[in-house]
Amino acid sequence: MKKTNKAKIIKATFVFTFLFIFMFSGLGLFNYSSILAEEITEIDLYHDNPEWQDFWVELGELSAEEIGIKLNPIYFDETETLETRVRTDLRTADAPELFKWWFGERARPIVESGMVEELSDLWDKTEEFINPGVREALTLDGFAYSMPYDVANWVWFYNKEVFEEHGQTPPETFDEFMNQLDYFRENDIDPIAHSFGESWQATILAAELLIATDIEKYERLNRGEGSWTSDTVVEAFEIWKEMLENDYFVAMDYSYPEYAEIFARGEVAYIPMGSWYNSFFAAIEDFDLENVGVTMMPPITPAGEGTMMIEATNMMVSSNAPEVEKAKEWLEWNASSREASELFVSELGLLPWRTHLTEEEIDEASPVFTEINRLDEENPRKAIRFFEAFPSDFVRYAEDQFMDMMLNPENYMEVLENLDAQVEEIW
Amino acid sequence: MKLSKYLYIFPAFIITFLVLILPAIYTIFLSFREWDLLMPPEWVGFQNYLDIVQDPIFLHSFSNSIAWIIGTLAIAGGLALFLATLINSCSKKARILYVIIFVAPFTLSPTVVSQIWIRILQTSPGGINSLLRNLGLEEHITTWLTLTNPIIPISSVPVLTLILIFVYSWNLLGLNLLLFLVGLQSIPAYFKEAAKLDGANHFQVFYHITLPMLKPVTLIVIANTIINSWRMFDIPWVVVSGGPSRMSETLAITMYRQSFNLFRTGQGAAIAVFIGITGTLISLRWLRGFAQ
Repeated sequence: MKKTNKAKIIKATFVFTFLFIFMFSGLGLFNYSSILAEEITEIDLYHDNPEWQDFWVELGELSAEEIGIKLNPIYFDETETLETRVRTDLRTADAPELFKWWFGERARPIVESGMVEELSDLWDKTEEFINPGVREALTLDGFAYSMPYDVANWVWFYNKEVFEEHGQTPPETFDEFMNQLDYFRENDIDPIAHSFGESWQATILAAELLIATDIEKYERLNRGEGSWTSDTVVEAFEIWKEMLENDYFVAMDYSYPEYAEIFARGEVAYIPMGSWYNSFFAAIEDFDLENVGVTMMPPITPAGEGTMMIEATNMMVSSNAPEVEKAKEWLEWNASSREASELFVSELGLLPWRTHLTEEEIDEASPVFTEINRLDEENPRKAIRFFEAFPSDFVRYAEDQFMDMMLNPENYMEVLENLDAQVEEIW
Repeated sequence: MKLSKYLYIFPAFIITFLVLILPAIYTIFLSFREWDLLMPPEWVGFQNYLDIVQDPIFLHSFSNSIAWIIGTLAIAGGLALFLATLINSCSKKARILYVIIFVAPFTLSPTVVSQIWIRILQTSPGGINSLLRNLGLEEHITTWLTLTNPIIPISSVPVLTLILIFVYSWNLLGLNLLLFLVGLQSIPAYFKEAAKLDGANHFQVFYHITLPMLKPVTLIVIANTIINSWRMFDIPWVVVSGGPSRMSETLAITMYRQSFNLFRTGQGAAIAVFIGITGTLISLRWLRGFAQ
């Protein structure tokens, strides 16, 4: 009996000890990793680029080593999910320290909510490390609301091999451009990769044509001023109508990742897209990036000269987040770190928005970048991409209207009248 | 003893309350407010309901959703009954083979079904267009996913909606066929034999014997089809995001867009309440009429 009791006691002791350790380790009372490791603060970043997740994880580990702040990137597959999560979390104590957002009018509701930090001090410390013009792009009514996530120039990629084969060169005037599109159509090459596989694609050509016609008119329209049925706008849309009727575009149900494939096969001449699209070319097996040329669509009138469209996604700091000061410290490190810049270019294949890299290093990263920088210098006036230039309500409405026009070009005047009516409602 | 029976259902009730009833109550609450998720909600009374019934997009989505019910009933319901009747008269081995062929698509999730049909319907290198090209029928090649012209001139429902209904029916057909087949097999043979002895032809046997005896199964098939069609979201969303130009939107997609695209969650909630109430009324009306 005694032996049995002793055995039971020993067994019970083991079981309770195990349960005790299991329970309290679950409660975090025995958190060995924090005891043994240096103290590292984690900050959250919400974003909607799953293809960037590995990059953010690596960058987060680099910053943990260098400044003791680790980035915890949380991605959402859909842009709508990111937008919804940011809106719902921003007011709570669970707000992410950092979140990706868009610039221009798209940033206005977030900025006006009063729930993001003003970052002028941060910009004062880091402006020398960032390309010129970006600070102004990320400031709204004097409020510097964010730091860069990615800054892209909008160019027209062209297939050098296709051009050489057909004895073509980038056109210098708009008439030459239209004649060239006609030539490619007659020779069974889709002149322009533009469709509405994703709804935002529908706004690209409208913006390009408006900017090339009259940049100031485009900027007035951004502010809800002027009419969509005015002469300059009608002129731009009549050109678009002509392009649609002449069948200058790829099939309308193409989504933008597919453009790179048909470009590589020499089936399309031009892709109007942001400089970030270079990473899509880089992902194609056995495709020589030397074959990718960049140019701009020639201006339609003198009022459209010297202008380039840009987009600037950015990172904002939530005022209600637990580690606001650490988030700012991280942004300062991210902007000023050469290693971060090198990682951005090498891992993502994107044009750097920081100034650390030399021209030779940029050229080595991709010959396309050098050409884009050249175009950037030649076209100093910058126009905000349609998606960010207008309030999101108007953008959603315009996307639907433009899709209707792309299917039924003869409806262009009705589209413009509908846009005027929407302006009345929104502004 | 009395208390114990309630205790048994209590856990299920708690889950149903938290996951179904409470969110439904909150949705109704939200439908009387305007809320962009950023600033605090504002009371607007019935304004959201008034706005949606005057919104041309809501009215168009309503038409599309009605088309979904009619189209799916005809294809996934009517065709399933027709095929089940034919298969029921086959040998056992043939029956098994046909059931496997027709039920296989039902095992796929709507998202997978949508991705399959995107590859078939897309312009290039879509399955249908490639087939037409190989058959020398290039003149019939078209952009199937952008056919927004109306099915019939007096309606705004586009041809694309009919295509999407076909995609969903391809997915659902197998289940309905299986249900009808089981129903047919449960009809005692002597009823039909007796009718034939009395001089009834095949159609008369089908109409006076088979159909009435299939009533319970038919009820299930129709109710299931109506409910799923009325709340249809996955297939039109995954294939074309309810576009182009919002032409193939269903009520559920409009609800989603209002709430999470345009951040008019009050209007989205009003549409959700509309879908819930009308869906329930349609089903109850059908069930009551059928039971009579």
